[in-house]
Amino acid sequence: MRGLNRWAYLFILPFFVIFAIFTAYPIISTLITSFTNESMATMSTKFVGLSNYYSEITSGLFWKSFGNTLAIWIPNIILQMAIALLLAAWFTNSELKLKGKGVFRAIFFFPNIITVTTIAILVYVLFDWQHGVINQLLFGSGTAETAKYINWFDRGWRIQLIIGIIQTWMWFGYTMIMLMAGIQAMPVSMYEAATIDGASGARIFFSIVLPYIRPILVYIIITSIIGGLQMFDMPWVLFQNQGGADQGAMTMSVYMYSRSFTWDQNLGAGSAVAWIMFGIIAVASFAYLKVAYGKEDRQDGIN
Amino acid sequence: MTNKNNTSMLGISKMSTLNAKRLFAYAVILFFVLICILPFYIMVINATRSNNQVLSGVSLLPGQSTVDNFKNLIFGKIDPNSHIRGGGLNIPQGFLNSLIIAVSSTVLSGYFSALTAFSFVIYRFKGKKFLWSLILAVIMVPTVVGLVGFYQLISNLNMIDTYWPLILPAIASPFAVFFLRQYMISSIPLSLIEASRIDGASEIRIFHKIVLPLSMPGIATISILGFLGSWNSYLLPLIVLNNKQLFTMPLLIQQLNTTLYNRDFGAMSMGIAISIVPILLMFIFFSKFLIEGISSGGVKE
Repeated sequence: MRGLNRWAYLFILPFFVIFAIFTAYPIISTLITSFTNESMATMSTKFVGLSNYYSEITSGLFWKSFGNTLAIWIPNIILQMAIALLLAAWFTNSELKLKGKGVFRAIFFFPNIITVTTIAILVYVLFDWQHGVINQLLFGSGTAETAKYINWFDRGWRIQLIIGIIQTWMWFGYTMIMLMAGIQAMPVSMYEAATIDGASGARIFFSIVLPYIRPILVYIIITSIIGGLQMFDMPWVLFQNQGGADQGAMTMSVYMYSRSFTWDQNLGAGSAVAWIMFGIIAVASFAYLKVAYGKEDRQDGIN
Repeated sequence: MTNKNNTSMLGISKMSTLNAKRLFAYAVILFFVLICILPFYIMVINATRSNNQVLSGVSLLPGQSTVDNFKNLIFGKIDPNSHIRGGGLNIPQGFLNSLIIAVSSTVLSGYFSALTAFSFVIYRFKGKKFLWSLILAVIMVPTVVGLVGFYQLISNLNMIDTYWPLILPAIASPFAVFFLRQYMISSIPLSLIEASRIDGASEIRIFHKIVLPLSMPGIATISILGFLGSWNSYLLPLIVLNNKQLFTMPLLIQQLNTTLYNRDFGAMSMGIAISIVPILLMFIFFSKFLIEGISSGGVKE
């Protein structure tokens, strides 16, 4: 038996070799680069200490990208959670007995698996202000009507709102499915006790169901923080490194990519931005965990 | 069925408020159904209409320009001034490129994630706890943190404009390992493994003949997720690939936005419609697996 355990090392070897090369090494290498002035534009690279970090933290553009990211993410997470909770509550409501759950679940999930690049081009076409479907639907397509067309992409806040709503559209189904799974895993006895006590549907949902699925809510929000604060694909495909009007679509990742690979190809500065982002994401996640779980002991860790 | 009996017990007024609630719920649900389907439907319809038709307004019925749009998308259009054909996107090539990358990485990820997960489930070895927490930690680490280093690595390895950096990392997919470990704990009886050992089966044989087949539903779920992840991936191919012949679908589709003839809305819609086809097929055949995968993740967290 003891001898057999040695096989484990052979079996996990491919994973950890590839892991070391393609995951661990790049992370460390990025960290080291962040302390240098390495750039694709110039040949000589030297150690510059924390100066990249200093210049990014004092850079208006970096904080602008931070603000842009939040302006996209915050409306999205609120809207997405509200819609997903409402739909999940309805679909699991034993009084309403809604039909076609499986089909609706699948339809709501569909936008989630479409390539973000495709979605971005779809947005580009639908929201095109002269010929896009959105304006055509809102105002009609005569000459008088076209005068009223809204140029959706000419304000930073509008761009942010549109991207945020598209994110909601892509993710509310996914979130709903997770919430439904959590609610359905609830022991029936918990409902029954409340129903006998005469609690209303809404009351049951807020004081019994929500606390029960809290771990799932926390998981959804943490993964959304990690994913949302890194958003790149859609703003990049729509506006590339300019970020569109008012640079509204210049998220932290777009800024980081632009610094590293397009503007001055400053890999050192880009690496520093990446690590600052990591710091922000980690702090946000832990702060949220703290708020969500408060002083309570965590009952069960992993393993 | 039981509704009828309940009516008398609940009283008519409660029943009708319930019906009103139900009606309202269905109306809201219908709204979301439309929101999820309509954009894609309009896009598919527009793919069959000429640029002028698309510009003149919305239609829910198809047009007759499917072939023209397809030609314009792939071969480009003739510029009226210079008479040069330009702006086309080699969609079939992009399709093939994406398929090569997605299939290879899915197969590698499925096999090696199962092997790694299996080791963490049945063996006891030194450093197991540490390595497991490493895997869990990395799931939470944002990808941007290694982006510059990844670029440096692949340019040092001369792997720019090759598919290796997009395929090989699939061997180390932390989330797949995490998922399959959970799956195996609940679906592989240890007694069966003990029994095969007594029968003289080697560890490698046990993995291939017992563990792999028993884990297939789990591997299928994670493979579908992996395939979609690879097919939809944009940032890494953007860094790795410069040669347009090697471009994956997302990189090609992105060019619809920047290419010379980007104002042909019929052709653009055609590009969007085509890029959705493989995902739509996967969705039709596998959405059950996908939804079960997400649901099980939700319950176990």
